Amino acid sequence: MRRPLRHRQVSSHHKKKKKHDLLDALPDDVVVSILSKLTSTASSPCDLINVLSTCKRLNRLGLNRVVLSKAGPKLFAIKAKNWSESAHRFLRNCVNAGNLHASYTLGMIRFYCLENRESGLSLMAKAAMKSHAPALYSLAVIQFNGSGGTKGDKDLRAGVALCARASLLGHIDALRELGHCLQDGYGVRQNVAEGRKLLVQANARELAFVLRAVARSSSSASLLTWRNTLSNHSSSAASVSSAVCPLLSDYGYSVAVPEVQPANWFLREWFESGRGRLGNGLRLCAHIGCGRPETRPHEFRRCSVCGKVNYCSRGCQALDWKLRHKMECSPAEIWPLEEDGGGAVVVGGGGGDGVGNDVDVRNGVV
Amino acid sequence: MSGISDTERMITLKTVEGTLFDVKSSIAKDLKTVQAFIDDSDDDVTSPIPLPNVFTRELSRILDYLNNHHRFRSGIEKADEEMARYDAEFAKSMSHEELKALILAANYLNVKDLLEFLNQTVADVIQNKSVEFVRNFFGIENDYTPEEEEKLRNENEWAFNGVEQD
Repeated sequence: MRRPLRHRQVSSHHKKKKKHDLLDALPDDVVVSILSKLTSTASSPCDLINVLSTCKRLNRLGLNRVVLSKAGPKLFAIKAKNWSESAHRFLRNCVNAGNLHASYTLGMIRFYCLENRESGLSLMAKAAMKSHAPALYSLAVIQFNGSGGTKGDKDLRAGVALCARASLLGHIDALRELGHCLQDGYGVRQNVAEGRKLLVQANARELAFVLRAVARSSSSASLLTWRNTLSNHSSSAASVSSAVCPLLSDYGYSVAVPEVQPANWFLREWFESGRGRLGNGLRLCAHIGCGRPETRPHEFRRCSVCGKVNYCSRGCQALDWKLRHKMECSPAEIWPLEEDGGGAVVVGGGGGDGVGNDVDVRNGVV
Repeated sequence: MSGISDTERMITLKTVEGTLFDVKSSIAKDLKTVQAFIDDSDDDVTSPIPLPNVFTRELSRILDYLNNHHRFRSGIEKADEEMARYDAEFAKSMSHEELKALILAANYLNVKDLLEFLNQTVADVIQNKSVEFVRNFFGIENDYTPEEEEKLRNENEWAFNGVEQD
């Protein structure tokens, strides 16, 4: 060590030496462990990207297969307007590392936004086979609608089977969808009682989920202020509506709607920002938490009352009804029923009730 | 547990500053490095085991953590909640400097559970922070050239949409 010329120089040399201390002293496996935990609880992509930008060693370790495979879904909450080859590459790397959330997200993006149906399906199937609930549900929606193909490609039974698997894994939307299918005898033998049970169960789970979220955000215990706290924590997946929705009117609770998932948020942003162009006459699912586009004309169901909004699934229709459509839906003038051939002529309000009464369908369970 | 069994034996540990700690051998088992030393010397450890890289402050914290966790685990069912509360307090009670020092000590002593917990704590600290913050925390020198940094920034532009500053 050089003889100190100035006191200041010594202390800055000392400081420089000390600066290396922690990272240098930690072996790779400890750093990998820290980074894996970071990605698994990441709230946005920049959590990891910032770390990658610090130095070469962290860059290398941050892109380690283990770290990428452990990443949680929010790491892939990319903004649609930022979509680029590099973003695509990052997702691909994560898919190759075996991350199911990445497979699902990229699958959705490729299927709906980039219109690469085959690849999108295979990526979603990859996640679904490893029991990724959102992937199973998305595949179910595709089966119900025959998305990417003709209306003859609809496979209702397959859709129900996929929904059943997803709901066993606790996916609330799938549970709701399954409930509606049972009530209406859609793709499965009609069993109204069973269907209703499932709908009630879905709502109960939703409530449990909300209560857990409230308990976690220790700043407030009140359900009414929950929404504000949550939207402070989540940067990319924003809370949905500003109005409180009577989602659980059964239980006398008014709870805010849960977070929109990253993949759905991407889809919605992609089409609404004009980054992706919707084909001629094709529409988006009107439910704000969905974002799915039609892949052929008249693919989605329409509200039978006003005819102004379209939904990819019963679940979306039911949720949107509660969220906001109930407030704005009003009977339209007579319009030609140009539905997608046979079968599912639109149901209004999520039930068999074609008239837009302010009815909470089937005793308030939707 | 019957009377004076193997697990009740006391091991003495000596830190850098020379402080002596008496530790039950059941706790010492969690300090894998120490355990390896004991195994190597054929269980014949009467004199204090020197730990040249571990300071008193860290060792006392580690032993505190282990003692409490042993107590929670051997206790009644309700321990989970208490354990979580203890863990949260433990994490909060340390400054970043102390946290870093503790990781190094836990790593040296090879205390698996504590290390997992500390790693999670660090992950929580650096979550959603800027590049500079992470650099400062780990004491990293930026070894990128300006061109490389530019290239990296362009590569990763897609990820940014307004980062929270520390």
